[in-house]
Amino acid sequence: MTAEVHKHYLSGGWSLHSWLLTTDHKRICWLYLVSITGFFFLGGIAALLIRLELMTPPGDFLTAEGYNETFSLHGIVMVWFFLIPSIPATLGNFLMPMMVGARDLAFPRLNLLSWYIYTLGGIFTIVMVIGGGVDTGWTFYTPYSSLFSSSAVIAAVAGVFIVGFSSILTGINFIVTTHTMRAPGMHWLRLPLFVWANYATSLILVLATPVLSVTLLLIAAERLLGIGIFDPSLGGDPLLFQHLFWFYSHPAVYIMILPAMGVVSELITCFSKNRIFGYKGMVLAIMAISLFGFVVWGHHMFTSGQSLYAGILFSFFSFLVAVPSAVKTLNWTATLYRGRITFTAPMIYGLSFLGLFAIGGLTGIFLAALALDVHLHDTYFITAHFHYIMVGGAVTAYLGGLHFWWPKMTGRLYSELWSKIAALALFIGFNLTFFPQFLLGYSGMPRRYHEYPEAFQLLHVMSSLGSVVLAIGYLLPLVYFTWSLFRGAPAGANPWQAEGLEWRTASPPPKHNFVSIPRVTEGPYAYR
Amino acid sequence: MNYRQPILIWLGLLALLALTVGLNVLMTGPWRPLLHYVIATAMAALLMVFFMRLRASDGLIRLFAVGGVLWLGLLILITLAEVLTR
Amino acid sequence: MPIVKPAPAEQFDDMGQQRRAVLMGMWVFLVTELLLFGGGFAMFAMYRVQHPQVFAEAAGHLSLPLATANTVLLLTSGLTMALAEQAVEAGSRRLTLVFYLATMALGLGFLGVKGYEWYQEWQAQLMPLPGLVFAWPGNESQQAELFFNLYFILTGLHALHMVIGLGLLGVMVVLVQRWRDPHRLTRQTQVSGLYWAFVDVIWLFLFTTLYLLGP
Ligand SMILES: [Cu+2]
Repeated sequence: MTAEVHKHYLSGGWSLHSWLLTTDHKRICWLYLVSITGFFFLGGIAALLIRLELMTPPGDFLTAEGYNETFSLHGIVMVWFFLIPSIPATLGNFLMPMMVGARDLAFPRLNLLSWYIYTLGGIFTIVMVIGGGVDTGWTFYTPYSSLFSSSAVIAAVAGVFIVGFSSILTGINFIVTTHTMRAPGMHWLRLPLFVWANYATSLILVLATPVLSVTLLLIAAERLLGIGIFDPSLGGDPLLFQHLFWFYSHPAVYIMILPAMGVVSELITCFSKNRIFGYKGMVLAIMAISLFGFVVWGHHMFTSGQSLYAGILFSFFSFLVAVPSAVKTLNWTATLYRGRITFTAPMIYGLSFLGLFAIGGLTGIFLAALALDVHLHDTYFITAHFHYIMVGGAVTAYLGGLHFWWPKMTGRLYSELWSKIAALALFIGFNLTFFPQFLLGYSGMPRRYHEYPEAFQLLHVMSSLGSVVLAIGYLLPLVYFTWSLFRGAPAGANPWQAEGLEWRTASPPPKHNFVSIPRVTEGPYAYR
Repeated sequence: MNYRQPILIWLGLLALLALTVGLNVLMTGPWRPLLHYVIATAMAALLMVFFMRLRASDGLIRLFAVGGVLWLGLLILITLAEVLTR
Repeated sequence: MPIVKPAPAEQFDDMGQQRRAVLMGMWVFLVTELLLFGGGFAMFAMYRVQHPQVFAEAAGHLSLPLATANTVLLLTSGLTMALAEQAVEAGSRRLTLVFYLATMALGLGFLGVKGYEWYQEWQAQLMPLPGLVFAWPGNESQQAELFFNLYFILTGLHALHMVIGLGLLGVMVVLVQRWRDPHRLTRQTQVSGLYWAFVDVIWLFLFTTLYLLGP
């Protein structure tokens, strides 16, 4: 019996073969973690180069073209290869089967395949983007990408197209797992919100990604064959590209933020030792966000010449999405009320998320207003807004989740002090980097320019200094996590006294997650 | 083995095909495209319900099938609405 | 021949669960495929309402008889595929093989006819490729070119799916020939059947959209 218990999923060996051919969702999580961390720091280096250039008003560090290529690299890597897969492919992969009480995902081999597609496709794209000097930005807007850019656009869109399949496979796997693999007694309203969030994300992955795929194919066809679908001089319509692109890419924002919301629900409940406030409302809000998210895409096209009537409709729906988002934020806050709050590192990340997401969400309402958007469109206000959602929201929650489940994944603890310092560095550095950008954008600084008038220098310097603090917040975990992996104290099965099936098994968990499949008798977050 | 049902469905499909092609040759007017799509939908429904066994599948799979079609409808409808009101 | 005792893959509790999961996974995959084509249909719809006349005229230049014949071929292949599913459930290896091969033959026939159609359009100088002359006998030549671009993209994407489907059926023929694990074969046949019928459904709407909305 004891020998059985000590055989966990990592004790199967460290040979290359045992990793590269594994079908264990927990090991695949690690494969993803390695690739994603690599991509993240590459995108981060590009971000630092951008901030370095913007320290001074004239374009003295990078050329105009070099600057375009740098922000394209930053956007392409961060959006397509970091943010989209970040939480679902790592924490989702590790936790979805454990949280529903299953031995693995429904299709383990497909899961491994999706990692290969993701990693090889990602490396291919990045080599092409750097080597081919792609300068279109992450959006590949036509007609610039199809007619004018003389860089390796075809290879880049082909790479993103390929990586799309990895998203689709992960989505299918999660949907089927949630539907068919739940343990006895685990009915839908007993699922942790993390599972709900990843389920809703998977629906978006499955419904939206193929539309992006066909759009990217057409850019490639347009460049190769000159078919003119997006070329106005041949009877085509460039707005069509924006329609199809944003039909994917607006919901993609929810691909990034919904899993983050799932993580935060787990963090807030565990470290206030309270049941989640309004569980059913939270579930409804998750589903509403994922479905309403599909009818707001035109808010990216207010100034692109789309019809005014469509603009009004899209604006209205965009306001509407704010309602479930507000429901979630208020419910988290209510969960804290009269809780026994402990300020551990994961909780600091969770609370940071609440603050940053609130700012990001509220500024989103500015941008959803038709008239105001004309002033703010394509300025640093937009840049600040979506960084508050994607970095302040998604990345903060990703790190919070990593800190929360690290003891479960590795069986080891990390330095409490250093992790708190890292979490605070992230919060301070982030605000210092991006809050000045709201002010810059509001006073008229357009995005994607490598030089600017002297009047903007103070705010730009603040932003650049903030990015250094932010970088420290990202680098520190790398150090103490590596240390913990080898030297950390044993964590035990449940170091946080958390609720949830994943905490009822050993850390690290055995190969099939549970010694025997658990029987579920109550809802999630049974803290009292 | 039950050959009867698949063959009957197949005959039904061929009859509908004949109908839609016949309409195309014989009929003119603004309602014709609508009829073509109604017939195409009927044929697709026959294929899905019988050859793809939607009839014997659980409700969830039916929901996925319908959901996919609705989502496609959403994409086309909203895009067209924008183009037509420009 | 060795018959394996039916056992589910290790992550499942029983065969029923595995079967449900596999079928559901396939259906969700087909939904993504639908939306892949959906982007194409949305594009076509957008240009169809912007240039109604020339698009109708262009549709008249396609061969309705050949496309109708192709539809008959595909619908019949749908029938033989459904029969293959019944045969594998009835445990008849020979009949299953026969129906699979018939399905493949009909599918190849479809691709042959489609290829001939493309050849005809190439000869009529209606294939808008770089290096080829596009000769449109009417007004609004650019918009007509747009129609033919969309036509080749959509039928090409569909033909690609047919080729993938034929590859899948080819693998299945080998597996049926070996007849190792009938439970598994039944599951795999159902999944292949779903894919094949889906390609059929897409064709019905392509046929309606491209060929039947003529003048
Ligand atoms: Cu948006």
